Amino acid sequence: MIASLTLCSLAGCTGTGKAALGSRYEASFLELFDTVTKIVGYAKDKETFEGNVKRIKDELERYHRLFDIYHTYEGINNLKTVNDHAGISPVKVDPVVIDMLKFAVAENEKTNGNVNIAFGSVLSLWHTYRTKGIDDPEHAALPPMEELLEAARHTDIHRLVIDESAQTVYLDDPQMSLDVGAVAKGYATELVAETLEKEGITNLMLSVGGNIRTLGHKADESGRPTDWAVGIQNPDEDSDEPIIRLLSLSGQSLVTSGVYERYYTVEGKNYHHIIDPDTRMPSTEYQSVSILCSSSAVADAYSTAVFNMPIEEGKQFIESQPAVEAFWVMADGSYVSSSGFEAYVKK
Amino acid sequence: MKIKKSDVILALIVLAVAAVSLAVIYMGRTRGGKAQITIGGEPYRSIDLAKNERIEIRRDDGFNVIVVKDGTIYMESADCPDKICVNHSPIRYKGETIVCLPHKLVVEITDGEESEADVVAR
Repeated sequence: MIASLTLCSLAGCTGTGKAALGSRYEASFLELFDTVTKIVGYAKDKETFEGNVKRIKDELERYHRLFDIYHTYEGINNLKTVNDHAGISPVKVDPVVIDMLKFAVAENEKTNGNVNIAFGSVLSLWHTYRTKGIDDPEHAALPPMEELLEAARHTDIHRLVIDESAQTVYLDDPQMSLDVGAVAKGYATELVAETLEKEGITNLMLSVGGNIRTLGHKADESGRPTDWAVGIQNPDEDSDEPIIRLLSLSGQSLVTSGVYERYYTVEGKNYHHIIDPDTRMPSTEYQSVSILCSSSAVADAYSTAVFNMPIEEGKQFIESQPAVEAFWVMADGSYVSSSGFEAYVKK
Repeated sequence: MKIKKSDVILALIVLAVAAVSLAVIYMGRTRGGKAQITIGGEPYRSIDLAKNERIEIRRDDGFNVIVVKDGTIYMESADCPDKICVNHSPIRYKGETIVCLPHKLVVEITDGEESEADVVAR
């Protein structure tokens, strides 16, 4: 046994899986959605894979620009344009923006308000205090509750007016702003994945900032098609194990919302970036929540929404959704799984 | 039961093979570890993870301090606004990355133990 292990480690033991699926390639880029996009895929040759990567990047970039709330791009109206015209006038936008916003409004209703794209005023207040606190840790402070309450008066998603026949969007409150951080990345990833599937480009895996969407299969050591192995990040940064669950996925998406990536420290306590619409504060119940389902758009939206629900409400919500599973890492480090989750854990 | 000389020799051979195998595995792990730093898509330098060191990178847009320790590598500090790279846990498996997006700096494990996951949700 030891001898065979030794041979194996000397030889590297990494089949590249030629045969049916083609060779394995990887690509990554940093330009989109303020995060890292990674693509792993199988193709008959490098040119084919690079062609696929370009298709993916071009389409993601189109959505990145349309859903961007920070930057203006010449010749297009995006969500920054919509925010800039809050209380002033409706803005004509690309149909995909209308579709994404309609999706976000529907998810808001379905999740009892726990994911809200009209929450921009509160989120930007947290963003300001977080950025200042990271830059100057000694004077790090929480946003004062009166400021949060004042900001929260301008977060009514019903004042987002979508006119489908005119293809316009209007924010009927001058102090309101959209922040699609909990929805746009997953929505864009799903659109790209569906384009690829329609065109028969499969056996590929997309990670847009850790939002995972798998298509088809990968090759095992002997080149046979097998499920993708997708890990869930261990929130405990001091642990030797970077992964707490390894899942076998084919055609599904996995999205994790966690406290460990984006946070700041005030008087020795960490405050993360997922803000509960009810309390206007970061929820303290979990270290992370992962959602597994076919649509990356749904997984992204639910990972935020379920993070903002108490555990019993979250469990009930997930069990009421067909073919959606969840995995919670509680604040004390214990794990909770939805009823069908363990079936996806890699044997 | 009497222990024969041949038994002792066999036991010694088994032990020797085991020791050598373990040593090779161990060295394979620590020796095999390599990482690559890229900035703005351009290779900046490659790193041998077997050697502990502290790498300070100072550029016009800011600084990053990268530490190699016991076969792992992590971002000790940086002056980027979000500190996501500093919050990232140490990496060691082939294909793992730490990214400082504001500085367009990527640390990637290019050689070493294979991770059991193709990708990690985070």
